[in-house]
Amino acid sequence: MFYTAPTAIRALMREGDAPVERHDLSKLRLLGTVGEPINPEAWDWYHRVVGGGRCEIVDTWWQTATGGALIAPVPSAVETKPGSATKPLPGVFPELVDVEGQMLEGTSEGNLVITQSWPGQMRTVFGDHERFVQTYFSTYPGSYFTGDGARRDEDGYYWITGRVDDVINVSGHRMGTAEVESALVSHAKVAEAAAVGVPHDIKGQGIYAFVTLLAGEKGDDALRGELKTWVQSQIGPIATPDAIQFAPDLPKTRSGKIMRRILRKIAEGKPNEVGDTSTLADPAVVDNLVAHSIRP
Amino acid sequence: MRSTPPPERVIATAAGRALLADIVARHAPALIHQSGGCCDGSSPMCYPRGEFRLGEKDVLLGHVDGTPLHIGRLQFAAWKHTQLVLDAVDARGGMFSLENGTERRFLVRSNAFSDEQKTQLAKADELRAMHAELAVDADRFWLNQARRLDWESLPTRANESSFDVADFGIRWFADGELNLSVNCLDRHLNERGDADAIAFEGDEPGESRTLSFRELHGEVCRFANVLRSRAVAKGDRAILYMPMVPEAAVAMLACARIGAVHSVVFGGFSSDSLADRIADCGAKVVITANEGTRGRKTIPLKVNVDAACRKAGGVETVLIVKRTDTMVDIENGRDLWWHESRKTVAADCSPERMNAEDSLFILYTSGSTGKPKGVVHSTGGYLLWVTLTTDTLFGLTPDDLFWCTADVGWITGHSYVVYGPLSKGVATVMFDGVPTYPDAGRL
Repeated sequence: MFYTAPTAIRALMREGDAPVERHDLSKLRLLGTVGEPINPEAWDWYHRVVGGGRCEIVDTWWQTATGGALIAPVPSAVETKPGSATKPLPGVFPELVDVEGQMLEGTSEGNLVITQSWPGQMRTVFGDHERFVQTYFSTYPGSYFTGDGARRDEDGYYWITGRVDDVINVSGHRMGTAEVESALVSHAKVAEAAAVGVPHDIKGQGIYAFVTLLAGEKGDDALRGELKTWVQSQIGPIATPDAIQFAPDLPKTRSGKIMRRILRKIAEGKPNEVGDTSTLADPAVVDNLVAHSIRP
Repeated sequence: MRSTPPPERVIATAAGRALLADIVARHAPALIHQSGGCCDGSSPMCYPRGEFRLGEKDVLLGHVDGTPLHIGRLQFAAWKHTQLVLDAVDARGGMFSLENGTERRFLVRSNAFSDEQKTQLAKADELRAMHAELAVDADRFWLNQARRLDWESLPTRANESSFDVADFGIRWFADGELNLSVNCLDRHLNERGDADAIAFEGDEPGESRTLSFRELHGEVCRFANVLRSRAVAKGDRAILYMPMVPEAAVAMLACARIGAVHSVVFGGFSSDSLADRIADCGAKVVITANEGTRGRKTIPLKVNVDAACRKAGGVETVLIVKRTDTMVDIENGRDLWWHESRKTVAADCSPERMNAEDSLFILYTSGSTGKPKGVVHSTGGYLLWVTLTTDTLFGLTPDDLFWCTADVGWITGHSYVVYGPLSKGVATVMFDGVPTYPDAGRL
């Protein structure tokens, strides 16, 4: 049984199938993912190459504050859909709300809240109970606010779209950065991508994408154009990145989470405001990105 | 590429569907009930609603075109490994006369389920039963679930939480008492004492060792005794700043054994980040290693601890695990080597009785802005949740080896490297390296 983060899966994918296929993985029974929504391409690769098409994939959604997994497929019992954490576990009661806090019914997209406590929930913020209440229970009174956005499909499956802070609003169209990233990563030459919103005079926000290419691929203007067209074809013209910066590495915490706060500042051209980078796996990544940042 | 859904327990042929539709049209709505009451015992009965009342013992088999199909519980026991196929045939003396003068009756055929399908159905049934129990009486459900753990004193109260500002509070199992380390160690000793608890894989390939539950229990007790000898007691905070070595799990479990609240700070964080966290929680003790290693790089953990202690103040004890041969400065009266102090204490240690709501650990989130946020988790509710989800999601059995790649510095490492698998009595992997060293085939 093997449980890891999508970012690690994409890193392995970058190296191709050979390093995996050298090993006997026939004893693997189940594969898990945690940390961020997994894009369908990485899901397929993980399922096919690592799992030999045989192991079920358990895509878990949860947070430090939740103690353990809250939304995840129970193997065998719940049909999986690549990229969806599927359905809440027994005792977990999620809802989607709009910005005014109105509960949304059926197929919808909004902010993810949990309406009832579960045993593994955090109890307080150490030394600052007021901060606990303020952070999680004041945005939508009576509910625990996860800070994540999600979509619920016709089967009642939840698709986490990322931190609500990561929603980009382009000309009034709201989209999760995860959607743009997923489209970029589905391109044959792309290993990893991170998209952030940047202020844009006309559109309100534009999309700035950081793209890590597969080993051996070369980033040039031709590929930039190709990727823009690709995203257009995958999502629609509204999602076309305004700028694409090729990045050998992305700033990640040691748990593999991309630090979007840093990317936003680089994209906005405010590298002196990136703040504390000491919790990054490799702080040197930031200098490299700043040196090669582009103005849309 | 998706997994297949659990199979339907009842399906219908075109003829079966047509007859069913006809009955529904004439008696709408109808219920089909495989009562076993028909002459050959194989045909489901069809009753117009009103004449038919479902018994408590009837089980919903599934739907055909939206019409629910039930079966008696005893029949269900006999038929549950079989897919029923509802067909219809012309038959003299059939149950139904149609307008064109023919007589029709249902005929039930059956397909055996494969082993995989049986597992799927059993899992789906189990999950459905959990949801159903929750809907009927959530507190009773949770008090039953609580029996997954070993309690000193079983809780009689389950959820007493409120998200409303007026009476806000989160409380579960508030009259229960237990010790987490007993649940992860002692309760497995009789059955699985000699089975692997931790499989360690070091940075250099080949650097590996295992600890059985009995060995881990001994180490945890010794560690707990060393902490007690330094006057660390229930409620005191201990910071861990460690590589991914078994001693990190030992230290976490030792804190839990004596009721100290641990806070693991990821070994890659700077001494400033460490100092902020020591100061925020008022840690009395810091547990670290002389040095960490990752992909042939070394991390000066003890040097960082010294700097952080100077900045934060208040640290009375620094306990050092010897990870490499590198020598480090030792501050007399404060610093202690684990490999030396462990020889001076007993290998058993009485566990502290903890209330379910007593804090188990604090974990600081790196948070995008502002001062670090110390997320506090409870003893009873937290352990039940990770035990339950480890079971539900990974269905671990004693022969499994579970590898969650997270570092113990993150919540995933707490819940699914250390506490979830060990509470289930399953071996967990601790890997103190990077996926790409010596090459990408390492994992």
